[in-house]
Amino acid sequence: MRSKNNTTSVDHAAALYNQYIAELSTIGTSEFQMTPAEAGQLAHEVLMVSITSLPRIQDMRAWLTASMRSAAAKAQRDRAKV
Amino acid sequence: MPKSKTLRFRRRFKGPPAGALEAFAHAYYQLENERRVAAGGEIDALLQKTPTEKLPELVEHPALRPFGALEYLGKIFNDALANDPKRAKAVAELEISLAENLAQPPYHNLSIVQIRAYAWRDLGIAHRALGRLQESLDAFAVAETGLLPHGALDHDLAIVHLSVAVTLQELERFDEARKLLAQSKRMFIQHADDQRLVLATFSEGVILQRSKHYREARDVYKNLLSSSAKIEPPVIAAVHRVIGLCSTELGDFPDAEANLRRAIALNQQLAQTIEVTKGKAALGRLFIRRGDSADGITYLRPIRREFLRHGLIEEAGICGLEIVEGMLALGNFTGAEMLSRKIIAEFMKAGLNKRAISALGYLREAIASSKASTALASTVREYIVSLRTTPERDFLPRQLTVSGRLPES
Repeated sequence: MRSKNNTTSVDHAAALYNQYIAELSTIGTSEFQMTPAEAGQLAHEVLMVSITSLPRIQDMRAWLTASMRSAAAKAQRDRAKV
Repeated sequence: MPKSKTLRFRRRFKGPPAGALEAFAHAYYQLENERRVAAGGEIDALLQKTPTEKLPELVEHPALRPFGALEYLGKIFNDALANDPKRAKAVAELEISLAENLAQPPYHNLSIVQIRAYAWRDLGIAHRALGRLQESLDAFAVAETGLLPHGALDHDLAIVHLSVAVTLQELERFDEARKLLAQSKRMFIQHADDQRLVLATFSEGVILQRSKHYREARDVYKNLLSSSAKIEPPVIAAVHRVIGLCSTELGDFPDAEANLRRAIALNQQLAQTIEVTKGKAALGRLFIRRGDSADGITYLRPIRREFLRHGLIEEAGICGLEIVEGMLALGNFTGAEMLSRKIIAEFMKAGLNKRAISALGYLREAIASSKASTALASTVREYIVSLRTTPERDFLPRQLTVSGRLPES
């Protein structure tokens, strides 16, 4: 059973995830013509990386959206090569 | 994006992939715990009791296995770098070994790529601090290769490029450095990373300074200090030192002294021993430059010893040549020759560039025959500094007039 502190930490993580996952996915679909599934996958990847990037992040929203755009642009370039 | 389009997407967006939220929360929670444990003191104690040569053996230590522990080693690396670059290099090598053996779950594979890249970046920084510039670039190249295919790691790539640019400018490859800095700055702006934007701007100033545009470089530095950007104390100290160096070159000695003393005081507050020593070396150089040779010599002697104590033979030699220059200004040829001999012996023992040793030999002979000038000592010092960037460059004593200044070329 998780302690109260642990629960708070997990709740905080969940809130963070829910706060951004849709917005990041929207960037993928609207700006890079990705399918919702592709965009959701990429947004998840960016959020996962944000956990280990925390010490270097000064502005979470700016970091996430910029990273999503970079990741989506790269995916788009890779698609174009195929 | 138009609001209607956003709403349309939100209706289609069915939420994250199955299990994604749980995976995120699990990784978040675990890393938070690992970071807390890592900062709890066990790793600090372990590292403190382990001599540098035994650090590689820690690769099997369970306390260093978790991701959070590896992150924490990065902090230990930074602390070591300022005071003991050899130990910092050993810590970076330990980071690399640990990163290679890192278990992935619950972290994303990109997080593993990321932490490996930072381990290699740390090694590149350590090599640079030890004057091994090609090895520094080689280590950075490994970091870059890992990050390059992943757009989500572009911010990390920009951070690595910032480090590459610093080594490139040490190698006087200014155009390449400038290009990388411009790319990195764009990425830092996009990611709202003001702290590294400041560092990149600082590096642009260093390029101007190294290409002898001292006034322009000083303007860049002074603008940084007067900007609203939040600048970390170690960077403020570094900015004051480089302003001091620029002002020394510009002959603005009061400004130089004020800034160098400020830099030294800040480095002392930060307990950055080697940075304090480098700041003091710059201040001693200022004394010699403005004609206070006796004071400069007295001031520089313990600083040279300090460089030697830290195994920074080249820095010690360069500092020694400042002393030689001061001695020649005072007509103390015997002292200057003895010190030149010592520097040559130190360089030979350390296996430093043979060209540097030849140039020092030329200076010593010129001193022995009472033909050396302060300009010759200064030229030899500048030549030795230039070997860091162009190790194959020839020393051309024909260009030197032993009693006068170098012809402009």
